Amino acid sequence: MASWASRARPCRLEQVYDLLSGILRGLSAIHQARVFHRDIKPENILLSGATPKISDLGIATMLQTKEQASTTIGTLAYMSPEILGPEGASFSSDLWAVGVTAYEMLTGHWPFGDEETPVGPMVNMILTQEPAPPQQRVPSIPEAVGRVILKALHKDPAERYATPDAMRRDLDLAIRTAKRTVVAVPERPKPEAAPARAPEAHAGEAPDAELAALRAQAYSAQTAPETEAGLKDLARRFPKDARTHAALGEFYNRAMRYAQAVAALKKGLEHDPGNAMAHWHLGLALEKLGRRPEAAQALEAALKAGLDRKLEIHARVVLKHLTS
Amino acid sequence: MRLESFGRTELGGGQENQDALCVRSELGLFAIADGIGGRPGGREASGMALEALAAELGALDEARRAEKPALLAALRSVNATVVQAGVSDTTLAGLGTTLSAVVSGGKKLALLHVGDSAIYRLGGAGLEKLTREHTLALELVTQNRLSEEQAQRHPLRHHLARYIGATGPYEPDLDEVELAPGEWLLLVTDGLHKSIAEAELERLALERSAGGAKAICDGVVERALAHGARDNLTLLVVGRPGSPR
Repeated sequence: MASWASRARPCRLEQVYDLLSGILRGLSAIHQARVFHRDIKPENILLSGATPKISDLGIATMLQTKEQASTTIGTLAYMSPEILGPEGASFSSDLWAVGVTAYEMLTGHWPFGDEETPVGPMVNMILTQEPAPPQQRVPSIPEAVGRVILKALHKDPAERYATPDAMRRDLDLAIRTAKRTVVAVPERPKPEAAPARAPEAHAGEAPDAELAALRAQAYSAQTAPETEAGLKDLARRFPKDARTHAALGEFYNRAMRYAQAVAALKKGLEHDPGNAMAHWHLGLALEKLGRRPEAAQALEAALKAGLDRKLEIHARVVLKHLTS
Repeated sequence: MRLESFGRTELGGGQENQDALCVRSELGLFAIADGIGGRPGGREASGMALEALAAELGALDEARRAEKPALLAALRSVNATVVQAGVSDTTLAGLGTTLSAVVSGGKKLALLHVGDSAIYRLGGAGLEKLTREHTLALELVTQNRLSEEQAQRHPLRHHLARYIGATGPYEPDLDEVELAPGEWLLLVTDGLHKSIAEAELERLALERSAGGAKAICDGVVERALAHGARDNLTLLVVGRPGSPR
């Protein structure tokens, strides 16, 4: 969900509510198993269609099993004041992190600091500063919703919600009493904006703007069925444009549907054998399928066709592991 | 500046070696990286960080390589490369690594450090730690929010506040170091300094320093392995052969 909830791109209230409701239900199940997650943040919320799933119980599991010697990483932005104090995390720390996630989804900002804030000042902000009410940043956020988020972000764990269910109930009430407001722009591409299905296939190239919009959608909504439908439709309408198949293959890679990725990418390469990005994504898909020699071949072809510098380094490292 | 080096990276008790080391004498680069385990992409992150750093330094004039602005720009690109890998391949999302390096350029010897690996200097006076671990707990100690004792017991005492692969600031420590003949720099990942106490590391390294980088490296790594290392471990020894002053 990381890119879905990317900062400076607030989401619609209804979408946020649906996601938060799903996250809080998931968290409730985790807490009922007497485990607290410790690392709730958008990166650890997977979207399968519109349903959020909490992933990466790594830190929680490690601490449960006393494997405390392993190094962990993660941004400070979602950590509660008590995590930064001698007492450490509690169940309530997870609700704080949900509060930060909600704040970020609705306003496009973290409540404390931003991506450029160094560790020291951010610690200080989390421990001592009060967050600006969400509706101060985005006036269309209903005040009642803002109050729910600020309660989750109370410095004192005892003043936060006692359980995920309690927070979900309050959020539900706040949403029902508020008008079904749409939070201010900038708007993200909407699934329904996918182009209408054209009756015939074209021999030419797909429009750049349409392709770019669908690719951006694939990165933001990740595995949304609407995005898949849009990309498939584009590939059907412009079957000789290798980029349409490459974009579909890239989508399947992000959805971890590697066999379908391979099929789409190979189709694209039939039309443009020198497409470096198609070779690159094909290499990644084949590697995940355990088809190592073929993966190495595809990555070598990608390098030969010319990748940008960052991808080139990534490809070289994967290739090195494949051939070692 | 003529530098001698020798490095080893070992699986130790790990399931796959997520440590990496890089010796590129022609670039004046000697570096180690420890990919963050317990999540996907540790091996890729450490490998990519070192490849990317070598690529960045390779694009610089020898005289500028160890300059702070050039190193900061290089590290920015290294971090972006690792972050991008998690975007390109969703199974690697959230990958990260430590990075500790010695860069020789012009008449300078620069140290570059992010994470909880470490760089020591070994000389006539013994072993001196030149870097600090970038854990969140130690950051809180620096801010007087935790005592040293509380930090040692804190649940997130191994949580890195700074690392390569961070979407926020990774705040590298950059420093210059002088190295006299007979002095050595030891770059170690946490797998090594967890399996061998500093006092023993100092004693072993001093005993073998006359034999040069390989002798120091082999002596220390073999002892760490004999102790039953529970993690990947890496040691890179870089220095100036000769008699200590």
